[in-house]
Amino acid sequence: MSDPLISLTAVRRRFPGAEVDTLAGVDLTVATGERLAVVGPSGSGKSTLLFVMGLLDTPTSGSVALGGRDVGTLDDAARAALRREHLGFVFQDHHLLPQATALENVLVPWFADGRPNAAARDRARDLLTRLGLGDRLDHRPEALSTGQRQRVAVARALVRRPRLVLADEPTGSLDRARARELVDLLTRLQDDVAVVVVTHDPEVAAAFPRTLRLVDGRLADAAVAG
Amino acid sequence: MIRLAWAGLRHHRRVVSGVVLGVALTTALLVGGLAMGDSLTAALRQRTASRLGPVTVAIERPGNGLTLATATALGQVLQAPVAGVLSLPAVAASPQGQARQVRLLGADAALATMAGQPDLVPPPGSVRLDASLARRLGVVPGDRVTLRAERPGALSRDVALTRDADAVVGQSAEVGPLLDGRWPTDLALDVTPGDPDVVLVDATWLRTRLGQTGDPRVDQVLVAGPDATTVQRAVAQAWTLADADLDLMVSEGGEHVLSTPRILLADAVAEAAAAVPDATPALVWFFDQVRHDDRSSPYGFVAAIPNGSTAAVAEVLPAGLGDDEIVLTDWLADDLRAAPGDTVVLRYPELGAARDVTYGEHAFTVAAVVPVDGATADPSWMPPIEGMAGEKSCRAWDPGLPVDLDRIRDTDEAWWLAHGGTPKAWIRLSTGQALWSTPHGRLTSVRWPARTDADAIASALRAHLSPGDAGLRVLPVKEHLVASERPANDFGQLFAGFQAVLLFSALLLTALQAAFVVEGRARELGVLRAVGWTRGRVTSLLLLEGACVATAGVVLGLPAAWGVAAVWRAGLDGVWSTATTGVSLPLALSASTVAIGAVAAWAMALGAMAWTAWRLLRADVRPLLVDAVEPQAARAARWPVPVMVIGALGAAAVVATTPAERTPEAALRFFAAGGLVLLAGLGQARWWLGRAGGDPLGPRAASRRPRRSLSVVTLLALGAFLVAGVGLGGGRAEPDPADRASGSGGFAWVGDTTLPVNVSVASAAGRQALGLPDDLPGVDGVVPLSRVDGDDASCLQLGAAQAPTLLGVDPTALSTRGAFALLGGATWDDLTRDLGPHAIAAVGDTATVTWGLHLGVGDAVTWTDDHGELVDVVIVGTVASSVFQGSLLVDRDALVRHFPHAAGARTFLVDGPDADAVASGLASALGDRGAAFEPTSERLHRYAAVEDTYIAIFRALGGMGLVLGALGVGLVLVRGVQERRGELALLRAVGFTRPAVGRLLVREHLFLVALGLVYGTVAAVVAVVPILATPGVQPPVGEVAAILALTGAVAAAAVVVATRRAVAGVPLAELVRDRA
Ligand SMILES: Nc1ncnc2c1ncn2[C@@H]1O[C@H](COP(=O)(O)OP(=O)(O)O)[C@@H](O)[C@H]1O
Ligand SMILES: [Mg+2]
Repeated sequence: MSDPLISLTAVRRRFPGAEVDTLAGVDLTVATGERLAVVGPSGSGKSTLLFVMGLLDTPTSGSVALGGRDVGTLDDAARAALRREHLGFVFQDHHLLPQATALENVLVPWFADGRPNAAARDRARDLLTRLGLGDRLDHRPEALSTGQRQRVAVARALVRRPRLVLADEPTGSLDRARARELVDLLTRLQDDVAVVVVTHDPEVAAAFPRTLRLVDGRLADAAVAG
Repeated sequence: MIRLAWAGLRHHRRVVSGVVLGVALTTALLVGGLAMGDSLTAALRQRTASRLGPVTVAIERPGNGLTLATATALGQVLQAPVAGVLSLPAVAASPQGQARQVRLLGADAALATMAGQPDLVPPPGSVRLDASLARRLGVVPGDRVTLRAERPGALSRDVALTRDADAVVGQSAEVGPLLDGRWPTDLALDVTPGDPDVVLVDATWLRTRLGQTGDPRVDQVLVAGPDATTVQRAVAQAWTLADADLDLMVSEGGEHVLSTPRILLADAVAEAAAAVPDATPALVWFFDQVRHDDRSSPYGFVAAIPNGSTAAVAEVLPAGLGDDEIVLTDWLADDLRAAPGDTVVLRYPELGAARDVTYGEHAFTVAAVVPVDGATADPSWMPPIEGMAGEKSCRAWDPGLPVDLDRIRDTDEAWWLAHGGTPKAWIRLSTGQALWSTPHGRLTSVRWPARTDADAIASALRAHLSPGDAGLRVLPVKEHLVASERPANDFGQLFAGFQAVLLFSALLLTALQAAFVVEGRARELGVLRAVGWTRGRVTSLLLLEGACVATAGVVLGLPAAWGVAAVWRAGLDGVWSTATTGVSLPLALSASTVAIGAVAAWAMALGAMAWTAWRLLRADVRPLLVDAVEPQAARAARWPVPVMVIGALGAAAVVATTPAERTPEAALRFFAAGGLVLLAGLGQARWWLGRAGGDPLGPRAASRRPRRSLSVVTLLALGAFLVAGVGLGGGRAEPDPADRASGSGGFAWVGDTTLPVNVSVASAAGRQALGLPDDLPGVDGVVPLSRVDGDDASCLQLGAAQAPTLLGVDPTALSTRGAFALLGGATWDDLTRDLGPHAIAAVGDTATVTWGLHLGVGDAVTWTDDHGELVDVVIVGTVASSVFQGSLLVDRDALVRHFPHAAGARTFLVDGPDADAVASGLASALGDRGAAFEPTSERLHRYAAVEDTYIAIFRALGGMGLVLGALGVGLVLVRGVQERRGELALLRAVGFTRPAVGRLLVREHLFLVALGLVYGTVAAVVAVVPILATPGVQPPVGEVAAILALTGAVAAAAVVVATRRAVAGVPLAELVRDRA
């Protein structure tokens, strides 16, 4: 196994007022370039797990280390910086800006700490072209189909060359064929990019080499839990 | 459906409560603003009550008044409380101070009864006044004050036949117990602004002090209860010849002689008398001398009677006198050594205005010489000239006419002793009238043969004369004052207008929130449509909910309206008190105002909600279910470019075609041009919102809800346009006293007196009479104006003026100077235009005519003249913002024709290089007459101050509206953020820090704020270009800038606060929020 990219140790997450832990002691390590699917029924805590991994949520206890560095003590700005540098997100909702074109939407992460340079623009254009949207660069989201929008969202997740792409039900709004295309896309990303997909869809999970199952707030091997 | 509506409202109660508050605010503003109208009406109603008390009708007779006996008789006829009073304009003075315009009221028990205060009238020698006047005079009960008033006279003192020297009577009196505020403390029959100052004394005492002898007379009869028609009828029944200053006496020869202390019989009387059979009209004139060759005989009377008269004297005189024939008494013939056939020259005084006396001469051929005996020895021919009639010796003469006592010889004195004013010569009436007619009359007496029955004459006269002909005016004062209760300019509407920006903001806020409610439920409505509800049914549901919300808002808003009204009233009582000219407004709210305001607010709120609903529902079901949550960014709309082009070209065209002249119309055109610029700006803003390019995260985000963004821009732009436009437009140039075309007419000073000045200050005699230094330079720069006091129709008048004050001026005094720029092509010569016997041409101040009287050129106001006739005062021209605000200017001669008693000058314009010296000289010489002089610029400032205050109110309320609008921007932002939670969360996810997201939002919304304020201000500047371009204008740039800056600051603060809350409140969980 190559070096660990992100590792969660004994992560517990209980929401204020809740009776039980949503995450009840999760240990998880994702290696550089690893492709991982997390499955579980709706409400099992998959999104919560992804949020913790994406530094969007802070565990009640336990630790999260990104690239060997504990992120628990970092403030909002530092976490935001880490997200910018290392993480990419794809959600069920694409959350594209309606006022911006496909290309501009892809470049949005670059606006978080300045303006996209020429290289960034080239990469964005390149990504969209590779995703089959080369002729849709200047279209606004409303002029794109649902599948196309989701591909723009993927391009946005990849534009800053993240080391870890986190996807939450990325196929939730897509039909079978589009879903399959997207999964294809995520599994065939560059080798050094790790991908974690959470989904309730076994078919999606099946496309990933490693699958974990979230049950009662704990991770188990999918096969075992079967 | 009702249950469903209720459930919907409950579920969305947070947003719904916002709408309720919006409606409440709208209601409060609307009703609160309109309440100002009610408050003003209440104040004016109070004014009527405090001025008139129980009085409904007043009877006046300008000049000498009527007899107290008739007043008492009227009480009998009317079976109603009636009080005759002496009522004189007066000046009250103490060592500590002076009150220029008091009403000296001589009253008796009748007024006390009417007022229900048995102790009302003070004892003789004592005076009662109210606390405020006492304070101004610095006196307390027991102190003494001096009262100065003009002795009432039957004939205007403008005519030299009267005595002017002792016309003003000063009398000291002891201050008695103060008037307690109950009527008649503020007794007044007109609507002059300010608190009337009544000074009450005993009527009998006052008559003595004024030197009145004979039957006691009164100036006014106050009637409580009956209406004018009833009183008119009673007057017609009760009036006597004595009321009309008519004396019917029997001469020594037994003839009946009708004469008057007025000396000249009014034309109406003359006509009526001539209609009584056997009348001999006569004009008996004073002559200066009669010459024959080198001999002359001074002073005496010459009588003019018609040929064929039935008078006894006619039998002695030759029948059929020629035009230039004269009959001399033997005394005069002897004195002149003249015989029939000789030519004698008669030198006689000709009477002009302002007591002017010139001398004319006429040559006569002696037709006959008659002995002084019997009918020719009858002193009753002499008119009762003050200072002559009744004097034992002619050396004791002291008439108004100039006489040189040194010219009187012993023989003259002997004649006077023997025959008094018996005519020394006789001529034909037609000749006499050709020589001596005056505007005040053409006869001095009428006589009938002894055989005629005196009572028959009297009743025939009364039958031929109306009370009006007798000078009796029945004034429906109650009706008049009640009519003036209608505010000159509806304050309620004015305030509603002032609040336009505020209201617009409140409405827009309501509409926005209503839109949020409906939009927030788009999905729900979509489901209803999907399960088969018709569009109409869904609309009904929404309207039902809307009606509930609007009703709740209105109910909540009404108590708040009282608060708004209280705040505005506090403003009008405080910083804006100039607008109400110091009148304190009671807080009043009428049922109709509440109803109108509530219904209007309700309808507007419901309309706003209905519009939103309609907008959403006219689409298909699908967008309701999908697109409402996924707003589409604005695409280029089709209208903005044409609107931009039309707006810009239109503005340019308007400006290009507007003449440079500074007229109200030009100002209006520029305001229209500003409006077009604003329109173009809004078009540009919309065009911009629909355009791609620029930072996608920057202000362009505002394009996602173009209508909403445009609402924000429009609100602020419109507000800024109005506030800045009206604010900057309020700038005015310093009035230039040297500029003939300006409102000062080039006159540096303007002054008023309470008591008239009957002499000309330009004449040496006049200066001497007034005690002005003989060598005062530049007195010919004084233009005297006669004045008939009526309602002040200036902006200082809150009520609707009915009959405005009339100023009589010599038009040539203004036209030769080129003073005052008349608008609309009128000239000063138009004042002398002949409009028939019952109309006078007038020029009025534009503001007075338009706003004070609500009239235009060609319209007329109706006055009752001194002869009791209705006169139309027809407006033939206007003059812009002048010192004549509040009154109408007419030709002086025309004024005197209709109002002979107003002939004396009471207003003065002063110009020329020595104006300052002249004005101060006049002010001190006329101090006793209650003179007050002020620079014209000061008077103009005073009028301008009212307008300025209105503008200040508009600025303040408009500013508040802008601030409210700025808060609306905050609301839009919060709402917008709520809709964009997912996106904003995503930005966080991709590495934007919380503050970075906040900055984006702030930038986007401040951009809208700036856009609105800048467009509005630019448009406003265009609108007021002509005013800014006027030399010397200092627009309140600082104040307007401060309001705009404050708006910007509040908007920025609202944006920042709303952003902080919004950003803090966006949970990242939004990213994965379950849809559907
Ligand atoms: N922000 C939150 N506040 C409170 N409870 C939450 C929050 N987010 C998730 N939960 C709860 O945690 C549980 C797991 O939710 P989630 O991680 O969204 O599950 P999944 O993604 O597997 O459907 C659910 O019971 C949900 O109610
Ligand atoms: Mg989930």
